[in-house]
Amino acid sequence: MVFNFTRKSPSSLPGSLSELEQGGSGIVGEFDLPEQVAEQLMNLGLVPGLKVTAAQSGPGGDPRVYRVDGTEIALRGDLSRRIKVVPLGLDESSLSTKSTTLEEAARQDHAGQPVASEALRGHAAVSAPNAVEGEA
Amino acid sequence: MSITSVSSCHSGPTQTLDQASGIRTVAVVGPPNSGKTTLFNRLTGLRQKVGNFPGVTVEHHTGMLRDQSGNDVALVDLPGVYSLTPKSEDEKVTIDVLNGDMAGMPRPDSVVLVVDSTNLNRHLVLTARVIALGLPTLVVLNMADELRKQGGHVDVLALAQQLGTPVALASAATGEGMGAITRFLSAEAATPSPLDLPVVQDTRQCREWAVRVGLNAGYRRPATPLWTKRLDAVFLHRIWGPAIFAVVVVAVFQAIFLIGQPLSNLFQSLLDITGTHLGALLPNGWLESLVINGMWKGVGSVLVFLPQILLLFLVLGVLEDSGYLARAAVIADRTMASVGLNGKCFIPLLSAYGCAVPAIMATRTIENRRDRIATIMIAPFMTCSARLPVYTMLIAAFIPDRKLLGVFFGARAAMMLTLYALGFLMAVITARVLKSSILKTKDAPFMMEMPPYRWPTMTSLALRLVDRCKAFLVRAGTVILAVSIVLWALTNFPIHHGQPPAIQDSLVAKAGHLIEPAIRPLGFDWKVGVGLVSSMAAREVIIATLGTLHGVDPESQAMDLQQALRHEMTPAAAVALLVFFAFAMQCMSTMAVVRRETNSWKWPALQFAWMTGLAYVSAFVVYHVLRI
Repeated sequence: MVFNFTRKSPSSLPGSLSELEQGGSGIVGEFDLPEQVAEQLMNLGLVPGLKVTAAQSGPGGDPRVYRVDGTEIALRGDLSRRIKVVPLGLDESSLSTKSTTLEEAARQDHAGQPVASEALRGHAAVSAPNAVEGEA
Repeated sequence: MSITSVSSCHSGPTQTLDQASGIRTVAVVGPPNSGKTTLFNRLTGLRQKVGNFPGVTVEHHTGMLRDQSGNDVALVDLPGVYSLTPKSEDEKVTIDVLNGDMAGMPRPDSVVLVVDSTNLNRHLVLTARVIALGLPTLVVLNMADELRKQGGHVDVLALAQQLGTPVALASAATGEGMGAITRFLSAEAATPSPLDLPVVQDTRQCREWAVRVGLNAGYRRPATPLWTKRLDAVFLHRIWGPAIFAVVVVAVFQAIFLIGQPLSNLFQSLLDITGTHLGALLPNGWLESLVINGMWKGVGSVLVFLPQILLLFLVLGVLEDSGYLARAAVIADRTMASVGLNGKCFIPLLSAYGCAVPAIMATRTIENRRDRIATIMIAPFMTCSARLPVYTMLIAAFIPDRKLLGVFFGARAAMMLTLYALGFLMAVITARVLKSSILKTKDAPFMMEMPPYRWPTMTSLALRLVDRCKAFLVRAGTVILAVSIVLWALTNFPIHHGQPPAIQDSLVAKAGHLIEPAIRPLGFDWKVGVGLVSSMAAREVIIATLGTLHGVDPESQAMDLQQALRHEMTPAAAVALLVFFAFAMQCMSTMAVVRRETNSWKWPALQFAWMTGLAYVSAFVVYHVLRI
């Protein structure tokens, strides 16, 4: 079955989107996918830095529907296994100590900010340098 | 006022009235599921026509609109796009038109970009790219009613200032904001001022820009409506999902018989009465024979299926517009994957139950070329609405009306479902064979947007039906009428002593007898042979043909077509004929569209040989097994 927590597939990234349980959320990370496929995903609305929530799936857990900033996208396991995600709703300690912007975003989200602005903030975190320049 | 005028109206030449037609052209652009077509329909109503761009197969609707000063404006509804990188044929068409590179179509004077206001951040990415084209652009934030209802907000004026182009908040469903759009269409639109647009090529940076613009415009995205989540929880439920899926599919077909059949019968009696009155107006003789026995009976025998066909398209339309079809694709994906296809192929295949021609056009949403060709190759196996008349008539004539499972399921419905299943099964086998041989692919990525659930609007459904109705009537009035007349002529010549020949001596009998040896092993006589040949024009023509042939045959003239068929065919041959129709590729329109879409004769030729060969062998087997 595609949906599992043991990383059987060699192509599966550690902490990939496919590992999100139904109802679980995370922040979209890097894509280990061909440029063109990644571009297609981003045009559909799945952009690194945004909050993603795993929703229902087809029979057998594949493909699964993901909610990301107002858009619902169905992905098969072969794609979602290659999309990195920083899970939310985990213990602080279980997050890596390496403090990347993404994880900061994740922590902020974890701290219980209003849902509607989560995605925006996730974004702002990633684009922080740009945003500062823009407003300066 | 929801439109801000842009002051920096620099050089941008608005080519108003300098085109040959003198009519301004406005392109309607937008992502799929943004309500673009609903808006287009609301603006143009019935004043629209379908066209094809030269050289490509992408259909587009053009609608006329009168602006405030009484001038005509041509609105062109371009295919929905997610981005402006030419990946699919749809996107290429839209980009070519917007750049003025499309032959036979002038560069539009301005653009109406329709985006979903409930999902602005994502759509601002496309907006940036469209504005960067440099055409005067109105950004329509559609679904304003939903935005408000679900607690969203956007400051239109602030957004317009940031984008440097007019922005209108509208709702195509309720009609809100249409005035602003008409005002834009009426005015000499200004080119957007050169904006500090983001790096439009880089989607990620573009999205970051979009978020900032959204923030500055006070954009608050509405929460995902609770009922979309709730409906998903039901329609994509582990157990209920597939169960509902099965119920929906069965209900679609059952509806066609339970509701469609009585409607068709009613229509039939209307046609009969009209025919009788028409006959009374004409002098007896060859003219009456031509009009009544040739044209009216021929065309009428096909026309009577219009209610059923419209019902099918209505049901498919409701499923699609409501958003359920996308969920069905998710449910079906696993199954499709087992034959090497994906859930996206399911939608064209389901619409192939209506007609293979639009279905094959709909395969353009499948990015992978090999998957797309495989879908094209199997689409005609799906039981299209043109087979429906043939099935309905033969089943009504030969299958007893016995109940199998109470009122819900009778022997006739079972036979019908069997035929549908046969076609589907053969499609699966064909896909399997193709995908493991000449069309083998590494797994193509499957990603698909799930549109929010929405109530289908009456206007969209009605216009869709009008579209189908027109196409069907055009076909009945041209191809089927022509075939009916030719057949009538062939049955009425050569003339002996000023009298039409006995049917056995007519030209059509000679032609029929010529091919009879080939179809005799299937249990078909020469009349069916003529029917098979004429049905190459379109499957349902066989009924018109048989109607004409029996109509002029004195032996069966008094009977209706069903009685006449029972009189001349064995049940075994009838079932063989049904199976033949389930498999055979008897549709010139389909072959033409396959040729266009695959851009090669190889695929339609292969398809024809495979399907017709299969039909022949299967009919042969069925006939001989049933005769024992």
